[in-house]
Amino acid sequence: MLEINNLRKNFNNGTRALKGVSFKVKRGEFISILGPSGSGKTTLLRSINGLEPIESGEVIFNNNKITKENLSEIQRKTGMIFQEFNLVNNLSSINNVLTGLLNSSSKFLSMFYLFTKEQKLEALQSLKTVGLLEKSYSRVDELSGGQRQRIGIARAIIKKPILLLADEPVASLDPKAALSTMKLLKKINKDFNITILCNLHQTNLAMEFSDRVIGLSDGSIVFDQEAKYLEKNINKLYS
Amino acid sequence: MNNKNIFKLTENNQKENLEKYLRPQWSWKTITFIISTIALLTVVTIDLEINFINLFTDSFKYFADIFSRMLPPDFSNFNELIFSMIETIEIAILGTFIAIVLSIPLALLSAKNIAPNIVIFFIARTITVFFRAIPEFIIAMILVIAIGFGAMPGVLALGIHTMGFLAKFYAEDIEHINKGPVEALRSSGASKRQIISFAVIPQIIPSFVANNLYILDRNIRMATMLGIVGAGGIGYELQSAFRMFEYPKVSAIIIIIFITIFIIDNLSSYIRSKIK
Repeated sequence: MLEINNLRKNFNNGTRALKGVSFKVKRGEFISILGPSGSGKTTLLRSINGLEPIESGEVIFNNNKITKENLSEIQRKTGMIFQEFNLVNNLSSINNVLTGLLNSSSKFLSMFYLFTKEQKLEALQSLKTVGLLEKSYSRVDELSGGQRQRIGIARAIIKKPILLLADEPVASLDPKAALSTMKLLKKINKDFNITILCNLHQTNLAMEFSDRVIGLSDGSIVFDQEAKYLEKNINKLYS
Repeated sequence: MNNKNIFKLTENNQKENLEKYLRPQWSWKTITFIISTIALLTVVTIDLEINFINLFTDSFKYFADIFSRMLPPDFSNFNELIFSMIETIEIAILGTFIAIVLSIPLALLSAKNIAPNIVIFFIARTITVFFRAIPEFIIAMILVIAIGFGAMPGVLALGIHTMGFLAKFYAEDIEHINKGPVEALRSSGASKRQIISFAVIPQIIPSFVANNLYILDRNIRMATMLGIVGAGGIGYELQSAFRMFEYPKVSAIIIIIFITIFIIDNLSSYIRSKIK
């Protein structure tokens, strides 16, 4: 479903964020990407959906090489979840979730926050999936960190993506909220057969929830294996 | 005894090591800034031939004289003054509305992070600076000559001048928004206009309202002045009273202006406190 071939990325300040990363992802997999800060995890996810332009290498999504021209295609089928939630704080939960549909909405009407009844029902369905239906019309700055991340997840799944890119989704949460968020991601992965690529720092969460773990260090993959073998190789990352 | 000496030696060593990290509480930059400011103020005061001592000794009797002639305030034409004050407020409201409408597109074009390109950004920035640089007093004088006396030149002068201010305020707010929501919308393929609508505008709404209220507050104060050049409102009454040496009327007008500004100031503070 997703193929990353020899992805390279250098930043203007000379940092080599990705040094030829390659791996393949099958539909329905839950893959965790582990690695120390600055190892290139975030750049990798951002490169997949075009937030970060790549220097060389290729991203193949559903047998199509991603280019500038067909970027919106992958963006339509991909949801992204952020560490800091990236919600608009003074908008309601439902309006935040509806922003996930902007790509497929009327460009003119959506500018005025006008959505169809079906779109609103889809937003409510997404909020129900993440367990926050009753908070649909609350402003997101009135919600807890865990609830905000759930709104972020609802925004990502409203467009029925086949791939979810989660960039350290639990890094800003307390352990209880982190666990509950990871359980929700796993449920979405299983129930809707959505492939998940999830950047994490917590090895215990990676082992518990992932099918596969990729270890990234200094812009290169140092291991790529089933989650159950993680303990054997974890020293390669943090030594 | 021996142990005590060792302890003392260690302690002294520690102090000596730490002393090299000591820095003066006031850096040379702070001291230079203070000395430069004092020097600048001294030069300016001497150059303008201002004598503050004379102000409080010789001029005191003139202040006392004019204040004594202003009292008691003359409210004999109270209704007329109130109508003029209302006209002043109306001029300010309409002027502020025009400023808001004109400044929104200008702000979108002059905010670095969303301007379509550098040329448009530069042109929009130049327009905002230009209209901010020309005081509304001068704009009103030109407009009075062009379109005659009345409220219209006052409304336009306020609208055009404060458009420059509001566009600058909005543009700065836009430049300082949290980029997270913009990125989230970009990642899902939203268009630029959708991003402005959903991720930029909602973030600047609280400061948008606060800035508009501030400009309205300011425009009411300025509208009282614009009457002096014939642009309508209570300023015209003020100028007439001065010309006729009717100082009790002047003080009545000042009291009415003060009460109005006081009410508007508190009202806008209340509204600002309710917006988040």
